[in-house]
Amino acid sequence: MAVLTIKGLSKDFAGQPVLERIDLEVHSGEIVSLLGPSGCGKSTLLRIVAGLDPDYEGEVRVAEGEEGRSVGVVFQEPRLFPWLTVRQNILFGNKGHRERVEAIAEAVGLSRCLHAFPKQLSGGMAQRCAIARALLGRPRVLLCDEPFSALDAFTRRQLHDLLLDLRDRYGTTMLVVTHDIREALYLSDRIVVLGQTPSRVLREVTTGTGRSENEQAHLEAEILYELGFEREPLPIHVGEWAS
Amino acid sequence: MAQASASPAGRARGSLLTWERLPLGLALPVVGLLVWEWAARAGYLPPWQVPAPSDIYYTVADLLATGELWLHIGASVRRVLLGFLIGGGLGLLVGLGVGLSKLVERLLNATLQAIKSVPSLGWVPLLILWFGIGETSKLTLIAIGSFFPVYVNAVAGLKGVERKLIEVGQVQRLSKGGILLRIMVPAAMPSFLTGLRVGLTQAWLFMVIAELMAASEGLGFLLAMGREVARPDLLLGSLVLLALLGKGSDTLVGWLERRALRWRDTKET
Ligand SMILES: Nc1ncnc2c1ncn2[C@@H]1O[C@H](COP(=O)(O)OP(=O)(O)OP(=O)(O)O)[C@@H](O)[C@H]1O
Ligand SMILES: [Mg+2]
Repeated sequence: MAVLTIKGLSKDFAGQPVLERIDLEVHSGEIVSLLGPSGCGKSTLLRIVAGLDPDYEGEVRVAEGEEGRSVGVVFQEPRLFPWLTVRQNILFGNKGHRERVEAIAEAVGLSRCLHAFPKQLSGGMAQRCAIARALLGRPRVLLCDEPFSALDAFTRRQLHDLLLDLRDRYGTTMLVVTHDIREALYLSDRIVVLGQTPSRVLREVTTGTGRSENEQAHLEAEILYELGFEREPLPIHVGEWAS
Repeated sequence: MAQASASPAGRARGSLLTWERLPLGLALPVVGLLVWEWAARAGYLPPWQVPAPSDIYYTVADLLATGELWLHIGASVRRVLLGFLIGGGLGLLVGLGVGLSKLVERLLNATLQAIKSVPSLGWVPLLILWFGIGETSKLTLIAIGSFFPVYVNAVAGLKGVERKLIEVGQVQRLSKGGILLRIMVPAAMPSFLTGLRVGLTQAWLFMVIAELMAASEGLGFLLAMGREVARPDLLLGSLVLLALLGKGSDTLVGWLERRALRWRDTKET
């Protein structure tokens, strides 16, 4: 079942087209990555879906959440309120869900910091808190705009696993913007590649798990090629690569 | 930190703390006072211009003993508080309006900027003409003095709230009022408090000016009288009292500010 449907979405800033007739469907429980060069309009697309930018053409539909809330958003920076504790930040705009705070804090690994203020958190912890805040209302779609790009490689990997874990636990559908092909390959069921502005969907790649390293590397090369970064990838010769 | 620690490191830190806590700021005044007292007694200073600190102390003590001093302090403090409440309150209110609504801003900002550039003492003759030399003109002057710092800081604080934080309110489905009360106001709180603090300082300043104009009680009145009857001890005593009261109120507000803004990630705290 499609949780998020985008049909013929176009957007321009002062006559300068940014997005051109984007079609995209995200299904329930799916994690989709949005990949594309800098400035191609990924954040713009996400902001439109989040309802932060009502000025666009085309159709954007998000299925109603069971509890009214349909989207949750995690931005590139945690955007926590410095005057609220972790607990109050998680509850921000989620007043009805007090009883869930402990469970979500445990799920994101913040149980022991609920009374800390944001200035006491590391970057990774702050982003965990932002994820908890976005998920507490059980949205149908979690939108993430380069949520981990400011973090070190270890923390990033931990948080990738956290997102996968949360999807298993709550069945949350996710649309994740990223620059990082490896991240997209690791995290998502499907990768949507956008081109240079005015951007269209260049390609959709179903990744799925259980691919061999070779196949992953080949996919990566293909996507890079699609984006115009590298020479045409060589066809795979499994035997040769193994050594 | 307060508990005793046997480790050398702990003791070292403890002694460092007490060393840092020494009221070093008092050193200069104390030495100065001693030198002053000595110079006055030795006859190096003309007593009709610079009396000895002990004379000033006795003058203040006498006023205190008769209860007269409390009358003056009470009058001054009451004027400062009342004028500050009116001026600061209006400053906060108008600042909220201008900071939150484009319409109100376009309506009021130019006028207020123009009024603000009038040197505040320029109001004195007009206020006297309008309200006479009574309590009304004094309070109005103090209110004008404390209005602008509060107003300017409130507007700056509200204009400076990060759009990124407001967007969080939007995606978390807060109403307009919710965004105002739960994001804009707390985010602008440091600016509000700065404005109030500066406004209170201004209120003290303008109280003295107002009382120097004409008054029958208050510390400014003591100053005026000290000049008329040529009593430098009275003049200096009043100045010391003003300094103490001003510093005291500023310290109090500063303490409240630090308490309210404990969440801030700044060097102090
Ligand atoms: N508020 C705005 N006003 C005018 N132009 C804008 C605005 N926001 C974005 N743009 C333009 O739209 C284009 C897409 O911006 P967007 O932020 O969506 O890119 P992005 O794909 O998220 O890039 P990055 O990967 O670097 O974050 C850019 O060319 C940018 O200049
Ligand atoms: Mg972006």
